[in-house]
Amino acid sequence: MDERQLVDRCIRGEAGAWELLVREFGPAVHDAARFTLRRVLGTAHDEDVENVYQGVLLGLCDKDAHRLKLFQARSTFKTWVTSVTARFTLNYIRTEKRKGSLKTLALDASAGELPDRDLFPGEVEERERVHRALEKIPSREKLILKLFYFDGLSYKAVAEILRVPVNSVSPLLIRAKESLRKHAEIP
Amino acid sequence: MNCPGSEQAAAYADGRLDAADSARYLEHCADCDACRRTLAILLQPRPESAVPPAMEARAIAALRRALDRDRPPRGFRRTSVPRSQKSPAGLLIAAALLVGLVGLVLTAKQPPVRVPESREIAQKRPSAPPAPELEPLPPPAAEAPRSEPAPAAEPLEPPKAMSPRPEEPRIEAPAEVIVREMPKVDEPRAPEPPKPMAHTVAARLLSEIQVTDIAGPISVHRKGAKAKERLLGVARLAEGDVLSTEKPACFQVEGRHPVVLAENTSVSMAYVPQEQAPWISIHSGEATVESTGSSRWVVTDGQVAVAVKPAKARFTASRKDSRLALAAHTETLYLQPDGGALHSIHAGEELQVGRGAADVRPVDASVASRRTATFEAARPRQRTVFYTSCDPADAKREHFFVKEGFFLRNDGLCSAELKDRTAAASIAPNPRFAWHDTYALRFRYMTNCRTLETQLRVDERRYTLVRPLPTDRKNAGQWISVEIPFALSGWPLFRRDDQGTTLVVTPEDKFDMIRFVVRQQDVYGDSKAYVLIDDIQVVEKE
Repeated sequence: MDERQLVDRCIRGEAGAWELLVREFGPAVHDAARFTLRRVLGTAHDEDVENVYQGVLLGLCDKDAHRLKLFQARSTFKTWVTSVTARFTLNYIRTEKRKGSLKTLALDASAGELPDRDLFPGEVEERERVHRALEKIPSREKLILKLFYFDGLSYKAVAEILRVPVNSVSPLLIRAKESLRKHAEIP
Repeated sequence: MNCPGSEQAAAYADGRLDAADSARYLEHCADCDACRRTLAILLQPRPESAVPPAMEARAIAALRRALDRDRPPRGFRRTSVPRSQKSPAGLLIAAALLVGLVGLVLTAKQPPVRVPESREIAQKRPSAPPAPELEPLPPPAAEAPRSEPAPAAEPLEPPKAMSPRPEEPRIEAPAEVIVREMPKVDEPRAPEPPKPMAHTVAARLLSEIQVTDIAGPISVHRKGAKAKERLLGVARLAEGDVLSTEKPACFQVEGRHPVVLAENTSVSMAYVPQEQAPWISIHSGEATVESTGSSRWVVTDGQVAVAVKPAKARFTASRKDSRLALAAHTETLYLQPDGGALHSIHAGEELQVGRGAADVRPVDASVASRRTATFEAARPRQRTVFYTSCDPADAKREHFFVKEGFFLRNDGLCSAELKDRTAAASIAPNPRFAWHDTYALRFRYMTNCRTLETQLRVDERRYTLVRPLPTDRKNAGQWISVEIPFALSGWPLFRRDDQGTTLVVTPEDKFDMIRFVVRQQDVYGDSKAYVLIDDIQVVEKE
């Protein structure tokens, strides 16, 4: 049985098909959940991983498999469910953080904090200037800067995303930084 | 921003987008953090590992229940719910106990273990005693129409409570009745017994609630936390947090509703914003509530939910034998179990809901009077009119606004330096509170100055009450807690905007601002003057 047939059987509500789907694609959901939690929070507690794992699977099944029906087979089901899991996990982290349940400091937590204007006035202005400049440079350059500096991805990962050779990443970054410097008027 | 969603991200990751679509998608990713992060996660190579078998089994069981939920189940599949951390010694002991008790286990009737589910999922629970264990049937579950709006397709909302914690009582959302007839086509079944009235559980938005004036040894097991924490004074509770006490304890809910917990009681609290209703879920023991506001209460034991309206009355709720019991103490209560029939419970009567029935029974007069006396003796003796923990999360709730100063990490509100080299922190309470002799202002502060000036401002009548607070050198840089009564003796100074020298304060005067000021000339040493403020509270004492 191919994955499209499996998905169709799940949409029809066959419990056996759901069980098969969990066994087949559960590891992808589990790994994506763990990876995303670890990447954003620096750690992945089993409890959170299970919350996401069950949440994704129940979310697909819920409301007469309303969300599963959104799968249009434009990618493999595994990639699709990984993508759904990644988004779900990011939302989960945001919600749990808001509720104060996640105590671990996120690697990018500083972005969400209020700037201490009186303590670091220069730094806040600098940050705002960089953000303003980012809006002015071409989107491809903006993307490469965000992937490398905001998301902390390696050259290899950036190359993978942009579909360019790894040794092209460095010149692209240099060009993007020059562009940013020009727009931000950084000496 | 119109997000192309998971489908597009997956298609890009699999290289199935054409050049134009790819370029458009990358352009979107440059501006959309969620899509960019999703893509980064999708394209990161990672080794795939197996899902722990117990986790997988729980997920499958939860899915089966989700598929089954549109008809009353005839039995529950038991799912093993292991503890998250097991020591080898513990496992050995458990194994030894298991061998010893295997005979008992084989003969005993096991209570069904609830598989945790998403809060969004409506769940129908049988009100009849559970039938002997049967495998739940897996039919396709057609969704009955719901009053709740359908959520957006993507992204999925995070689950509210799915990780099973068997040692912790769980919150169930309050209920609404959904009657459905489900055809059973794929497996033959024995004829069903006549269905009694069912109590159902449906989705309801719950949000955090503030409890104040906590007295007694109450601890909270917060959702997701490993250990309990002791509650002192004021706390915010979210759905999933479980309060428990071994001895009688009390607190106020939202500053209006005194709650007394009897010994060995465990409850969860939340707030139903759209109904302006506090929500209490009783896991064990007995809670007595006196509601003096206009809002009604929702009381539940996880299976049965009762709306209490109007709530200007005192009632007890206890969970015994899977029956929720509510008793009127002083006034007639109007109760609506599961949004169904309305019951009037007169003083000295008790409503018992459960097992598909709602019975009104008289309560022994001595029992009622004892409960009233116990409540009176144990209820909180103060009421918090205003409270802020002085942190950004609290500020977002908009029950106060920062006028001067800034939040210093999570340490409190820090003063900002003004042009005249004084440093000031001030907040505007929302709503304003009026002058009252029985009120008192509490807060804690840390400063490096000899004197902290505390000011209460009434804009309407253009005057400010002032209370200087001296600080010893040895206490400089330490947190100091103070309480200033609202009585005029507590505020020896005042300033009128028209420079008048007399002042009459009336209960009509509403305070617009609480301000804390330190001056550079008062600094111990040669550093800059500062004051940190935390836990500002206005309480009414009896």
